Amino acid sequence: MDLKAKFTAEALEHLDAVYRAAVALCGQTAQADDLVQTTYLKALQRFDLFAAGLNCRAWLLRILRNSWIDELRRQKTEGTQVSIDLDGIELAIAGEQPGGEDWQEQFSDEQVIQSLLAVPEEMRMAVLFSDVEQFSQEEIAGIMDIAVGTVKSRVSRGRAMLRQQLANHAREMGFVKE
Amino acid sequence: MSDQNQKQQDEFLAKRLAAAFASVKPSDLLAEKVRHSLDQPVAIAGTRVRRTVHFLAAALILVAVGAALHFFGQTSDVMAAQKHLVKIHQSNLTPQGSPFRESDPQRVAAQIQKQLGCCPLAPARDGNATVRNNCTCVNCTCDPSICSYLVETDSGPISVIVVPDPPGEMGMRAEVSGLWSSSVGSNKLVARRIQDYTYCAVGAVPDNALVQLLTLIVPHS
Repeated sequence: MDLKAKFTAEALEHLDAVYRAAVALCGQTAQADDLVQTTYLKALQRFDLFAAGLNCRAWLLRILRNSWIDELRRQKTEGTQVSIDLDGIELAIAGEQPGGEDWQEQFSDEQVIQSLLAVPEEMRMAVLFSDVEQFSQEEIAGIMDIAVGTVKSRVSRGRAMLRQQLANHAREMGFVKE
Repeated sequence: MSDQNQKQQDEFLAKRLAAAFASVKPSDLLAEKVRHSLDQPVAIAGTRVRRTVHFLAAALILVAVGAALHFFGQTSDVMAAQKHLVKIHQSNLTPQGSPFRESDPQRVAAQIQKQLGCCPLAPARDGNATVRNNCTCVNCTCDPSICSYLVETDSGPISVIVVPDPPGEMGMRAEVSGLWSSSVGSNKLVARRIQDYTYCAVGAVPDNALVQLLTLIVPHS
């Protein structure tokens, strides 16, 4: 099997993961579909970098993320988007979280995903790569182009914010008492 | 909250999140579009028209980047570093004296040390890939900060140049798996950091040949 055929076969195996990350970036929208297609086209243009030892899934997700950043820059130029670096902002958690975990089972999958989408992007993606895609902190650092220490911090704060989002919804829906 | 409780909560949340995303799948239409786009030979080889457009676009980008660098008064130190690496590779291609040829990685490493006075890691013997270092010729120069040697591979000669500078400081672009890449003219550069040194593979060969050679250079345990 030549390199291109090998690349195509392996890249397609990761389509679900690439799509999940696209959904985590922009929701289940046509934009997510466009982002996935852009990612694969860019990967194809540089497939000769794909070789033994390269983590194809991580590479595709890095391309996806960079494509999204390019898209945000374009939107920002057009004056429709403002991005804020949240690394320096302290996490403010409003209210106590309910004890136990049973209340988290009350949510539908869609509600869980929507709650994650409410978490700021850099933390959201760190949580997705860690908890859904099961990447190591070093791999996440490579995908997101950040230090390992920053990955730890973003995953930790992202989880706390997601838990708080879910707790707020649980109270609104009466899953837990005030 | 105790560490144990925190860990349990994190694990529970991770499982709930993974379960939620398990149902998130691309539509059949999207999968088909992606599959179709990967089957396109155009994106690989390029038609003449598309290539021309790409060359024009690349030329415009180069002009724009050049103008921007000039405008901001930035020196081209990073490009100079990459060009220097390519120059070393080119000088490796014109051997002076008879090259040393050896298939045993340990003997190659010993010869490098003897010839250069420094001790960079040599590629390990390759079991099944196309890169074979059974015809390794050490043929190099060494200044106080740079070691290099040349490896003949099936894809063509590749210089392995070992420098202390991090790849980012030499203007290389970060890829995944700790690899960095760049290109100067027809030569491509792929680098990775090993034991406080940057091992840079340079040659007019496909990127994957450089990556494969670098994966054969493994640090001593």
